[in-house]
Amino acid sequence: MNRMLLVALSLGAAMALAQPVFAEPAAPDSKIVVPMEALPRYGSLVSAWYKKPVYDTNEKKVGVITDMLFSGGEINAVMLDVGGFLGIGAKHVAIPAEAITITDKNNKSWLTINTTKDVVKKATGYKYDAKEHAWKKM
Amino acid sequence: MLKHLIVAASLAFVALAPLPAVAQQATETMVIVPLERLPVYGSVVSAWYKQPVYDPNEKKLGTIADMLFSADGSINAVMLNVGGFLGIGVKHIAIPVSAITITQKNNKSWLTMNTTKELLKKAVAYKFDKATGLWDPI
Repeated sequence: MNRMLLVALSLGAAMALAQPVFAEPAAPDSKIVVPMEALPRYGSLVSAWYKKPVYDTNEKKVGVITDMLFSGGEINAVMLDVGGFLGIGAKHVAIPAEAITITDKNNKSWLTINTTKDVVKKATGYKYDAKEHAWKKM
Repeated sequence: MLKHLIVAASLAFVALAPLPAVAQQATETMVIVPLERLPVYGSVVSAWYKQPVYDPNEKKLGTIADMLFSADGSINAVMLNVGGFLGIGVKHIAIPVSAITITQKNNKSWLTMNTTKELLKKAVAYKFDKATGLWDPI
């Protein structure tokens, strides 16, 4: 199961890196997928994070989550657009996933990060390259 | 003599008391600094979330409605709405993330899963509970 996951994801990585794009149909002898009869234990949902605002500890909006990067099935970075917070068009900064805290507020999820304007101003900016399907340094 | 001991002990207690204040200061200085370089990643959530998933014959099975992840950031299930494929309104089923393969087609990401209509029909269905913010079996 774990090995399958790694294979699938490394395949994904290889495809993302390959310049000539070719879609390979799934191998005809690949295993038939049976949906899960019970849910695994989970802490959160992508729907509670993706395209959602993130606030600082003073409830000031720092930015919006525009993407989440994962490797080996593990989310290892969150892309946050802090352009509005800085008063500029768009600037994406990369945040370690564990640096954002999710709680509940008025029956809705509420994401917070302890950071400052100066820190995000100085931070490396990233841009999504639609051709290569990858985030690149600005 | 005993009195002196008590005085000394209470003094020691006072000396230890400021410790929590020090700890508090430490958490206050834990300002999150964005990443200067991206970690290695195989894929991005934006290539999965709300995207269609096809069978090996390029027939659309459904659309990814959500992704479940545990506290350590590992994605352990994908919620797929297969209602359209089954010719019913809405039906969400849970799929292990490793069962879906990502490749590319016409310069766009292309998600595939090898399964059958019968399996999806028989599969346990889940529904999102807005009050609890959780997916529950129907």
